[in-house]
Formats: sequence, structure tokens, C-alpha cells
Amino acid sequence: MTIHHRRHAVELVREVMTRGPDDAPPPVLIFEGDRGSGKTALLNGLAGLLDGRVPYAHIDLEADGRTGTPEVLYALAFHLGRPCPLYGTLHFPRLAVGKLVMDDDTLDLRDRDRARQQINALLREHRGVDRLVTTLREGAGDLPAVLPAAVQTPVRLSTRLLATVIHRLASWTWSSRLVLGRAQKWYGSQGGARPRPPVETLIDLNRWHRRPGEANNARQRDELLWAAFRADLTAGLGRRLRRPWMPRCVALIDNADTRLGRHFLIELARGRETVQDEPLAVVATSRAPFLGHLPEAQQRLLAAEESLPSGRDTEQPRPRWVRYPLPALTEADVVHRMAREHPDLEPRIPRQIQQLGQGNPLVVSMLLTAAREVSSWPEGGEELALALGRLEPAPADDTDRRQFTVEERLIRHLLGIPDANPLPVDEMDILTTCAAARTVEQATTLATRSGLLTADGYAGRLGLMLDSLRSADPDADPPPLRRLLLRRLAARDPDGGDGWNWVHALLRDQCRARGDRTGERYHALALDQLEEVSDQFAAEVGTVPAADWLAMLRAVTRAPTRRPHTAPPAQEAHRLARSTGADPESRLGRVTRLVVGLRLAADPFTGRLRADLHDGLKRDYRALALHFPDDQSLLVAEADRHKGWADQWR
Amino acid sequence: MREAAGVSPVAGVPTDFFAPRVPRSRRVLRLATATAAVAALVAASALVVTIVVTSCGSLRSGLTRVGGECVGVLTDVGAHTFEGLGDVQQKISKQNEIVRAKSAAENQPYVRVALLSPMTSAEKSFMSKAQVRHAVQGAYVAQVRANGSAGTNDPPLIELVLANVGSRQEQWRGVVRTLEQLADDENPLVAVVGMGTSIAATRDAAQYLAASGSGLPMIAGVATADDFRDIPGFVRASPSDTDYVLALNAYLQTRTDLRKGMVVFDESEPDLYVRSLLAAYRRILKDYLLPYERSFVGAGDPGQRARFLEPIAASVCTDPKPDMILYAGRLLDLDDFVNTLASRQCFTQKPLTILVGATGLTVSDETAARMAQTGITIVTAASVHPSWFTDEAVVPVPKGLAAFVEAFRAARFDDEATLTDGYALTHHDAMATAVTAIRMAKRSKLSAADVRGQLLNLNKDVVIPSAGGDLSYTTGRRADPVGKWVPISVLPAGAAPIPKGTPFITG
Repeated sequence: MTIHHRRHAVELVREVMTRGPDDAPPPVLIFEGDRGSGKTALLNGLAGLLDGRVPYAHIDLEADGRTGTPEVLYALAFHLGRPCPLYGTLHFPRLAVGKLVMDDDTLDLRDRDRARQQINALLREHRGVDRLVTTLREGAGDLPAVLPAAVQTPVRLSTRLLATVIHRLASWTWSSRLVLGRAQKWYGSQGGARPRPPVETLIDLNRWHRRPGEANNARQRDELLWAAFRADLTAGLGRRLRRPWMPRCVALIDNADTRLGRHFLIELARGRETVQDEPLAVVATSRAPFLGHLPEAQQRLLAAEESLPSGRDTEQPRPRWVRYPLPALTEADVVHRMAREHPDLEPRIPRQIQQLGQGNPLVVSMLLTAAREVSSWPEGGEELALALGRLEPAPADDTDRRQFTVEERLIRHLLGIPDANPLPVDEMDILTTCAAARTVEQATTLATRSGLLTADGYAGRLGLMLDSLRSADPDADPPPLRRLLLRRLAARDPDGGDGWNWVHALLRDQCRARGDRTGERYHALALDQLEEVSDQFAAEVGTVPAADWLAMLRAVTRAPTRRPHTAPPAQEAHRLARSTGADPESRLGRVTRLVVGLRLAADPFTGRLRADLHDGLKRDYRALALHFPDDQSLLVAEADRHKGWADQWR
Repeated sequence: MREAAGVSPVAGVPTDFFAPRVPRSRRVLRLATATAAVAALVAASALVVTIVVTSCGSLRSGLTRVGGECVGVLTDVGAHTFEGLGDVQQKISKQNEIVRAKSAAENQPYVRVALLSPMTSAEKSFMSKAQVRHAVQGAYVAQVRANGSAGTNDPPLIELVLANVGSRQEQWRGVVRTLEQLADDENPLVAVVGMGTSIAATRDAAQYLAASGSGLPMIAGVATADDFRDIPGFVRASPSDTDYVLALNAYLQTRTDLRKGMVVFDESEPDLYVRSLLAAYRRILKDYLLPYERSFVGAGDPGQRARFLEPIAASVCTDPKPDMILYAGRLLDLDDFVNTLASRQCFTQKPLTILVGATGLTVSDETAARMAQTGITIVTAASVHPSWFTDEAVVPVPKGLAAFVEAFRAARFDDEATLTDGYALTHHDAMATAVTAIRMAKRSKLSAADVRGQLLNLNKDVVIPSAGGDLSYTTGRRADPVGKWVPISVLPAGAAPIPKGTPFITG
């Protein structure tokens, strides 16, 4: 799959991989973005670029299964241990020894002498790296399963090859000592100056692991395993660590904003504080910021094309964390991509797709692909409805994927619902209802009324799903998931208990009760109370500042409609405006046309022949500008913007 | 994933975007290292292939295959078997083992003597397979006698090594260099015997060794050319060509019927033996010579025939008719020559005697019969007399011959009859001379130079256990032995009288 618009993100990865002139460890690089923003695709692409060139591990912390720091470390070690030119094959004997001892639940913790004998016997039995590789592979649990098939095969192959070669090594006394002796000995001093018998530390490790709930046992276990992992990595790289031209190894961690991911990354960052020549670069993805509890000074939020802080500025030391929100696609990106990949496609369709997708790469990509399959477009509107209703391309036989419509595929992806699971009925119902809400508060109120959301706003999956409906700015264009759910809401009986009219009337009344005039008009317009809304706006012409009037007009006219677009936009606008009975040449008539036209222009499902619509809006803005003596220029500027859009849609 | 050439589908970055940027210096170093490694590998492979392809016997035998022949110095005599020498080499190898074992047991050093000679024989070689074999046999018999089985077991014991210079002795350079190195060994090489036949290669090898710092003495077996006389450190156990002709001259004193001699010589290529013998004829027998000579072109190898022999056959029938022909050619061409003369028109009118000097001469029975029918007699001045090795010798025998024959028989080579070519005897005597010089020079740390210094002291009361006469060497005669018997033999037997007394003795 081709990944567009991510050049800067890839360059940032190279920056954290590159060894700088200072010894400071590189920051953990976190790519942030909503579902479908291309985070996973980006990591997959990075894995492809790294494969065979630099040792790397690629794990998804959202994977099911009982996982903790040990399992993640085993997975990292297992993946990093694949052979790589110039780097050789990295072994993790210390970590494997730790795992062997931890997993022995027969160790007699009450009789320390017996425990020592048991550990010695255990390690004697397991000498040989072939067993160590298997040990790490088993210890990684489900985590390696997230590897793409193309990557997994060499892993298995290399494991087999390695096991074959090492089996011979392990059968010789000297190499057995080499393989395990040094690793075992490390547990005595752990790189420090105060040695103690290694077996004593290993007994402690076993105790910590078997009784994680006691005192700081889990933390001590994780710290020791982290140290073992680091010691293995450093020893494995050896002299290569001193070659400035050799990039750091890379850990690609998907979905780091899970509880496990947060814990893991914070442990990782803590271990790096005192390290020189850090051998590992960490690149993670996150749907939402999750470092809020850390000091601001340790973090840095990068702008779209901003580079990493150099660390040379003593006033502003290099941060430990760098967040980079993956930029959404712009309309220009989409149009450009369409021109390159789908040159035969109706040129106005990509603008509609971008209006729905809001730069979400997955939504844009799927809709562009689906639109290419549509043979003819209707004269009126609802072009995107055609694309959404199509079946997605049939998946390959050797995958677990199922075939859905494009619309369901998008909903599933944006909500994170796997193919094997049906769409959750209750959650989907309430989410559909909540799609009517203009603000987070409204949505929460609706969800709470359903009984599925508790008053404190936390209800597991539903809470996360609601986040997907949220926009930072309530007056911004709604995210694609909300658009799709609004279509589901429109499909319900409008006058039913949870129908379009009922929900918007409820919300309108709530807004009215709170004195939220914008919200009240927004939902009134959603209820097609065009005459009432137009009257209110017309009455304010010249009496309120132009900026306020325009802001409210823009916010209100984003109100959704449940009615399909059967005629070209200009005709539809004309018909709706005429239906109010207002004199077309009057102030009210012009305001009514503005309200109708702007509402149609904000809807991606409105027909593609929008040039006339924007021309009409331009004319009405110019005419109304005369009535705003305080600042006519704002309306004139708005008229000019629509003139430009008219040209674009022509 | 769709990948254009060098461009990744991931944001259009190059596919090697994350690959380590190996510094140019390191790349150059790695390239150079890889190139050097490949070159070294290729060179090593070529060397190994060359060694394997050119090796003879085991890789450490010391022999190298050149032109299909295994040449070099065979210090471990059992490491490779030369064609026709298998049994002799086994005996030498066994004797050498005895030497090493004895030396180890008695904590005494032993020394080495090399038999430098063609060990292989080809069509164009100067020594036949039989002659090669007999030369080695003779050296071996002398070794055995020197090491005790014949009662001359003074220290140091002698190890015999075989140095093959190839059938035409063309590989002498490498061989003598190896011999030089062996002279510095813990058990040093202290003498070289044999030296091959009288050809330029033998002279060059002798001159090389004479000038080398190794000080190796050389005791030749059958190198009879007068050219060798003045080479320092070189002596021979055979008569010189001059000695042969002197012996013939003495014989002619007893033959009043032989007064007119015609010289016939081989002009095919420079051959020290032919040239030296021709010069001796002209110098010593000038009173017998007719004013004209005849030449022919030797065959060069047994597969061809000598050319221009027929005109010679015609000329012996025209006046003045020669009584004898003084033959200065290789014995290889003598059969052809005899057969051509046998067809001369005047064979019924005038017998013809061919005089020749050679180490030993035999002819086939068929040729002997033809000679008898056509009045041709060959008179040879040689190193041996055929009857010496029979129980009924028709001529006196040297004092030491019996011990040699006894030792030879004890060695059980099963080809005693071939002693008649003289190669075994002369090489035995060369070896015996070397051993005598070695034991004269006996020191705790013996060197080749010590032995060389004793060569010309082998006279007066020093007895060399030689078979061809009581050999001794003097500064006056330099390389040529004193006391070497040069018997006259006649073929066919009885065709001419033979002096009954002691034959010509050099000195």
C-alpha cells in the first residue's frame, strides 16, 4: 500500500535513529492521530523500510492476551534478534535466563538452599541458545502475531536456522559456558560494582514474579528485566555502538496509549535517563495524548514540518518525548492523489470525499477506490452514498477479513471493531443517537439517558467510541464517523422514540433552556425549521456585529439534514428558499437563500454541481454586506471565498 | 508493496532510507579487504591446484610434475615410485629407515648423499630405463656396504636420497637448489653422486654446485667427457674419454692389422661425450687416421633412424679403405651404424673393426650374428668387461669387484646380467668414493665442504672399496681417477684377440 503525505514522519524516525554528537538518548517519538489516520500503516511501512537493514521490533500493544512488561520485552528481544547485515544476530541470553527462572513455579522459596540447587539444575538443563530462542518466542505470547506474514516467515526461518546452528554450539562445553555462563553471571552484579551470587538474584526474581502483588515486587521484576534487556542489547551490539554511522535499532510500538503501553514506555524512558550511547530508538503511535501526567519540559509537540530539537541549546534541553500529530490530508493532497491514481474519476468527487473524510487517509483512500468503481453519477446529489453502499474489494482467501460495504468497513475501522465481531447493537444505537449532538456535553447527556453511560462519563468501550465523535471545535466540520452515524440516524423513523426529529427537538429544547442560541438554531435547522431560523438571522442583520452574525450563521448552517439530495444543489436551494414564501429580493429572501445554500454546501452528500450554488451565495453575501455598516468587508470577503469555491467546483 | 526502482511506496523515500550509511573509507577498506581476500583465495586455490596437479606422490614428497615427469629431490625415497625403480626404492627406503633408527638409537647424526641422475626415461632421454635402474642399484649397493652389511660401517651412517633431474636433465636448476638447501639440514647432505651423462646440463649443474656456497662435492658415475676435469669439487669414478682412447691406443699396439682408421662422428647437436671422444681420437690416434672423416646425424631418439649413414657404408669400400672406424657417436646409433655397414658392398673383401670408448657396450644377438657374417668387429674400451660378472672371466678382474658382485647379488635385484652396461659398477664406485671421503672428513658436525676437501686426498694409503679398480684421486689428474681399469672387449666374442694381461689402468 502506498503511504502518502508522511515524508516528514519518516524523516523524524531517521532522526531518532541517528546517533548525534551528544550522548543524550533520543526522545521517544510518538505519532498521534485518530483511527484511520494511517498510524498503523505508517509503522508497517517503516517496518518494510527497516527490514533487512536495521534490527527492529514491531509490536502492537492493543493485542489481546495477558501481557505485561516481561512479555513485551520478550517480543522486542525476539524480533530484534533476527539476523541483519552489518549488525549480525543479536542474542538476549540474560533476558532468557531471567525468563527461565521466572517461569519455574516449582522453585522452593521457603528453602533457599534447595532453590539454589533447583536453579542450577534448571540452567544446566537449558544451556544452548536454541532453547533460549524458543524461550523468548514462547514468552512473547501473542505479540509476535501482529507481524505481517511477510515478516513472520523469515522470523520462523531464522529461528530454525539459528536453533540448528546453536544446537551444535550448545553441545560443546566451552560454547555452553559462553552462551549461558556470562548471562547467568550478569545477575550477580548487573553491571554494578557490588557483586553477589547470581543465583540469589535469580531466586529473588522468581519470587517477585510469582508474587507480583506484594510490595514492589512487580516493579523490581520489571526493572531487572529491563536491565537484562539493555545489557543484552549493548553486549550484542558491542563495538557497533561506537560507530556513529550505524543507526540505532528501532522498536515500533503500535497503540502505545493503552494502559500497558503507557506503563511500558514510561519504564523505558526512565531506564534511558542514565544511559550513554542509547542503542534503541523508540517509535510509538497513539490515538490520543497520554503523557498528560508528565512535566511539560519533558515533552515537545511538533508542528507539521518541524524537526526534532537538536539538544545543543542548553536553555532548552532535548525532551524525552516528542509528539507528532500526523497531519490530515488536505484537499489539495486528495485532488493531487486523485489526479495521479484515478485520472478518469469525475474531478469534483474528490472534493466531496475530502469533505466527508476530513483528511482521514483511510476514509479518503477507501472512498476514492470505491468511487472509481461507480460507472455513472446521478444528476442530483448523494454521489457519496453510492460509493458508501458499494462492497469493498474481496479480501484475499488466506486472511480472516470479511467483506463489508464501504460504509460498514469505515464505521468498523473508525470504531476499532474487528471483522470477527458483529457491530455492537446497543452501543451503535446510542452512538447513532449521539451523532445528533453538536457538542460533547450534548452527546454525554444523550448517552447517559440511554443508561449505557454512567454519570461520570466512563463506560469502557462506549466512552472510547464517543471520543471518535468529538471534534475539538464544535463549529468545525464533523468527523467522518459522525457523518456516517447521522446517515444511520436519518434512516430511522423520524418521528420515532429515538428518531431524527425527536433527538433534534430534544437537543433544541435543551439549548433553548440553556440560552444556547446557536445550538437552538442549529437543531431547529436540522428539524427543517428554515423559515424560523431565517427570520431570526434576518432580524439580526445590521443589528449585531457582522463578525458575530457570520460566525453564528456558519455554525448553524452546519446543521445536518435527513433529506436526500435529489436535485442539483442550486435547484434544491432555490426550491427550499421559495418554499418559505419569502420575497427573493428582500433581506429575508436573501438571508433564507444564504441559510439554505450554506447548509447544502456544508453537506458532503450534496450534489457535485455546486458552482451555481456558490455563485448565488456570493451574490447574496454581497447584497447583504450593504446592511452591515460596521464591517461590510467581512461579508465581501466571504463573498469572494465563495467565488473561489464556485470556480473550484465548476 | 509497489516499489519503483529505488523508491519506496512509503512516502516516496528511497528504499535504503534507513540503511546504515557506511563511510566511504570503510567501504573502500571493505572492498579492498574483500578484493584482497578474493585474490588471496584465488591465489591460494591456484597454488593448491598447481601443487595438487604438479605434485607427485604425496604433497610433501618434494617432487614436482614438469612435462609429465616427476622431478625434484625425493628425501623420503618411498614417497613416490619412479617407473621401473619400485623394488630398488623400497630397498633404499628400508635402508634409510635403518639408518635413521640406528642414529636415533645411538644418538649419532647421519648424513645424506644424493644420487643426482635421470630417474625417469623418455624417448629422447640420454639414459635408457635400464641404465637408470642400474645406476640406482649401484648406488644402493654402495650404501648398504657403507652402512655395515659389508663391514665398512664406520660412522656416520649414510642416507641415500634420489634427485631426479628429468630424462634429459633439463630440470637440474631446481634440483641442485634443493640440494643446496639440504646441505644445511640437521642431517646434512654432504655429497652428490651420479650427475648424469656427459651432456651440457651435467656440466652446467656441476659448475653451479662448484660455485655454490654449499661446498657439495660431486662424484660422477658415467660422465666421461674431458670437459669436467677442471670443475672444482668434481671427480668421477669412470675413465675419461681420453682414458678410453688411451686404452684403445694401447690395444692398437697389439694389433698390427689395424693401421688405417677413419673417424665417424655424430654432428647432430653438441654432445660433450661425442665431442670429447672425437677430440681424443684426433689427438691420441692421429697416426692411425686417414685424412678424411665422415659424419652423420644421430637419431636423437630410438623411434627414429640416424641419417646419412649409407654414404659412410659406401666410403669404406673405396680406396683408401679403412681397417677400422673410430666411432664418436652415441651408442644409441651404433646398432643402425653396424647394420648399415653390414650392407656395404665390400664386406666380403675386407673386415672392418669399429673402435669406441664407452662405459659398457652390448649388442643384440641378432646384430652380433650379422656382424659375424659381414666381418664387422666392435672393440670397446669400457669401464667394465662383460666377463667380469660371470664365473669364467676371460680377462683379469679388479681386486674389489668380487665384493661388489657379492653385495649386488645379496641385494637380489634379479637382473644381474645387466651389470654389463657398467652403470651399476660406476655408480657404486662413485658412491663408495663419496663415502670414503665422508669418513675421512669425519667430524662431529660434518659439512659438505669438509667432504669436498677430502676428495683429492683419496690416494696413497686410503682405500676406496671400489669395484672397477683401486681408485684414487690426485691433484695432477684432478677429476680423473687413478687406478681405474679400462678393459678392452670385443664383439662378437672371439672375433679378435684380446690381451690376456692386466688391462689399461688410468693414471
